[in-house]
Amino acid sequence: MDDVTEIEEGLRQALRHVPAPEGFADRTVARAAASGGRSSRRGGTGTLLRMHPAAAWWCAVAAALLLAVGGGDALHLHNQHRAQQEQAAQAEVDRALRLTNHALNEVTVNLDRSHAGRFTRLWNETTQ
Amino acid sequence: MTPSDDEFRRLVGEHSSLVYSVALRLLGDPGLAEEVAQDVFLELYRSLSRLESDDHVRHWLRRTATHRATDAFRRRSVRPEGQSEVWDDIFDRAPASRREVPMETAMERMLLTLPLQQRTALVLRYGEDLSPEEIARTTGQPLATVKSNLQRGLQMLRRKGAVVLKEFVRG
Repeated sequence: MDDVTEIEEGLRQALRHVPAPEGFADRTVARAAASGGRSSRRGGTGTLLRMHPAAAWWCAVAAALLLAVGGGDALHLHNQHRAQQEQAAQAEVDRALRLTNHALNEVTVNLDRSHAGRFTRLWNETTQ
Repeated sequence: MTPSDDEFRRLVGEHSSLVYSVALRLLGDPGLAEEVAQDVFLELYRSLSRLESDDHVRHWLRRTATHRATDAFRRRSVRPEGQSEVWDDIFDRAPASRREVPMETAMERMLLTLPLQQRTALVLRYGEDLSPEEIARTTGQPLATVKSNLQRGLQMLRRKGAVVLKEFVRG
């Protein structure tokens, strides 16, 4: 028996059918019944393609209308939300500015008092 | 129209070893092979009304199992160890333990190191007993490509297979 024939014979023995794992048939039948024959893989044949063309057309139109209405509502809500966010941001800025102004005023008053005190002392020193 | 549960169960029972074996020989992974085999039967469940005879069913299952296993292999991006220099290194390790490995298991392991196209051709030729023309129809490849894959696959197996066979015969 030459090498190739030995290899071929070895392949035939090694490649004999093996039984599927225990319970395979039960699991497969259950999966088929549960999925109604739909594959878990993407790209399977869709329900729409099996409908009557006129019914499929009306479904498509209804879906487009729903999207348009739903899309319009969604846009309005988005704009509203955005306006609210802008108002809230503006309020925060205003508050920050008021606080800053208040703080600045405090500093100015203190400085004035301090300058006034020094001026009085200087005046007293020079006029005495 | 989907088949009855009984009819479908009968078909699964009758052809599960064929479908599972093809997937297992191509993927080398029992869990993945079972997943692929289930997917094949789910497709059969949807497609049965288009199949005309038992022979047609068998051919369809073989072809679908080959394609789905190939898809799964590519998704997993498993690279074979069968580049010749790397393969030499693997088989030169632990010569003592190799004698304890049955020839069939050694052959299965060698097969898994081949590139997918050569492995597919050999599995369909020697596992499913298909002629090169039938393999070409099953895989959708040109006949010349199938013959080339068979020849190259056998050559690669012969390079190292002789060593394994000698070890096996020596016992």
